Amino acid sequence: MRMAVEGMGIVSAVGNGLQDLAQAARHMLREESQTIEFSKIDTSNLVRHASSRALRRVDHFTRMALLAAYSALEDAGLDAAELEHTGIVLATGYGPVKLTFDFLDSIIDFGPEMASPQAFAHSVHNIPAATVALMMTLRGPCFSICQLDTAVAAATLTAQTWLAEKRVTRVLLGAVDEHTALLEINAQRIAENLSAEISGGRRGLAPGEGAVFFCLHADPEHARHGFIENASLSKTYPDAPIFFSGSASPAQRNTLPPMHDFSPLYGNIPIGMAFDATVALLTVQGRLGPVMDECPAVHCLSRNRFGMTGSILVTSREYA
Amino acid sequence: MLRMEPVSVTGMGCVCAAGTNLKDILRALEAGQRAPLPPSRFKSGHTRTYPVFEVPEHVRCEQKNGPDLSMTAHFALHAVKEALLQAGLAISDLDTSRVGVCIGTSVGASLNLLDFYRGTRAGQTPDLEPVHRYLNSNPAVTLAHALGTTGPVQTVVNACSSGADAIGLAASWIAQGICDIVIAGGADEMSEVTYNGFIRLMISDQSPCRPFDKSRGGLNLGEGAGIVILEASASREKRNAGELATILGYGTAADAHHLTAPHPQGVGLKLAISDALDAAGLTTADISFINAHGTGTANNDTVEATVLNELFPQTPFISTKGMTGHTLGAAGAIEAIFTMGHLAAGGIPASAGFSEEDPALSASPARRHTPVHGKAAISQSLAFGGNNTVLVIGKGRAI
Repeated sequence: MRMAVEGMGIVSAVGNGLQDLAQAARHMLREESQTIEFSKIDTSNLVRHASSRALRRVDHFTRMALLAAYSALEDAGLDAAELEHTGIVLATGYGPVKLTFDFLDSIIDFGPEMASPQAFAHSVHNIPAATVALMMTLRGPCFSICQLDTAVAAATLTAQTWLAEKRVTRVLLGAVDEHTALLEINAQRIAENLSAEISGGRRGLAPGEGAVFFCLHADPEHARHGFIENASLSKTYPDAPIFFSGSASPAQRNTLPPMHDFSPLYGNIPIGMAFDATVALLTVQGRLGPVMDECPAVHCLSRNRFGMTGSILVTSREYA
Repeated sequence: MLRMEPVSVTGMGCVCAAGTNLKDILRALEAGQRAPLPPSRFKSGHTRTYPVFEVPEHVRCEQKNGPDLSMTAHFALHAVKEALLQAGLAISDLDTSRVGVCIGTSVGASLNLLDFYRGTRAGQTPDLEPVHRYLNSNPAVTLAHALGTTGPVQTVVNACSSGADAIGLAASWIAQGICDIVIAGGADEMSEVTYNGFIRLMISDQSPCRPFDKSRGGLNLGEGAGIVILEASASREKRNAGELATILGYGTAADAHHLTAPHPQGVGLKLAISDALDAAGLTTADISFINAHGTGTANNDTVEATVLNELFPQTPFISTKGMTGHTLGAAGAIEAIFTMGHLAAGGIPASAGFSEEDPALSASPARRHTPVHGKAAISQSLAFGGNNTVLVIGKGRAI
């Protein structure tokens, strides 16, 4: 089932707007140098959508999720009051890691009897998605999916499943991961021992962070940006000649040309495919021109450490 | 919401404190003997003792001999073996691209690497073994890798409704023709981190838990796994496999009320019940009993009692957490399997830990073994974040 993309929202190291991402992608394709600090994400703009009081206990991971979700709605020309029969699916590789470590800090610093209940409660992996539901008063299904590198493809299938069975008419499909110093240290230690076969093109990159949300609708008439669908790699899509992936294996790079790697824009991040899908949606709309030609369909791939490859297909409004 | 075609369950596997296979566990639930103890795998660090329900030692020792995976992954693999055996399935006989894996967890996807973290913070360079173990142990990915399946793979982390949500989503994959077979369920291990977390939230009981009882004082943590084999009719008929139970409907809804407390009127729970019954094409009158979430906490049991009294005033219900503890991400799957077992047996056991009605609650669970008649039952799960999930489960049909 093709899901119409009504709106997109991003929170990223290259900026929090689709134009920022498009511009950074064009720079990258032109091989122009740009300095990107993956761990400096600004969510201060969230106060446009929610009161400071409502946000006072909201952590950075969830702030990124909320800002991307509100931006997707704004891009779709919707507000939260119009979201009846809407579900939420949130993909992540690690969950809210900073809060997980905050709780461990509190155990180590103050002992188990004084550890922080707030940090523990909010580190539960479905709390970010639940916060989106709570802030937008959405009472539809609310799912969180946690797995390295294939979470976005999995979450896309969940959105598709719900829309197909008419459980909901709209899905806010999101993906979030955050940077911590410990993740960076350990990613470096692990990368030193990883073969390119396992790590794909992201091995040398620092862990990144960011959030992406898509506002998806079952009705094709809502396809302002195009369509997303879960796709099988085994199928052939003759009109989808371009593949985006930061984690393809060398074999995939050789057999699925041309392959573009946009991971230098978002870093080594388990939900990188969500950023690829956003760039792909810009591509099928011709918004990366003149550097990249408009293309009717783009495959996005993400491969995990076991060699499983998640795949989604992004298509233009005109692609049949 | 479209009406859902019943989805066959052809295999079930379970491991928890009450036993290491489903037959033994169901027998233990009937006997009602339980003995939660202080955690054995870590020092609690608390002056007071909070009992937990751990998987028996011999099973944990057996798992230690396996590949370097988390205990959560080992529990899942243990339950999968039982489920596949019961289903009469060898994965090698199947088109693995049409076999999906959908597993719920909580602890099993969290970076709760306390000792490793402590070492790093102290400026040491601890061995990366716990990190690799974490990276290798994502429950659904690990099962798919171990079994060689190449269909959809999904690890659901919806806190305490994860296992039920995984089964509900997996049933949709079958109903929509995405898969012929889905290995679905939930798994979670006891962790020092969650143990301390629930104590600090002041919802852990220092005594064996007493769901819905007047004197209830909170939950006891547990651990384990529950796995079902869901199968499309065509696949099941082709194999001439027995149908042990069916998934008739699935509903899930958010409270959008509070991050750690259920809506006092059970708004989300009622929506989930309504969606699940609609999908099944049933009404409340068709439900013969309910497996309640029944944690033993003040909030949870109050809300569930309110909703059950309103929607199912004459329908018997139980909580089985008095026998298993709260197994978090595994609970919804383990309890769905118990519901299948009790429906097939035609009776529910006494609700362990319940002895005195709470006048503040508008409903009470079964006090003794209760015969149940009918073809459908409900298993419901409530979770942090305000998630509410309901599975409508039907009796299997003999071949």
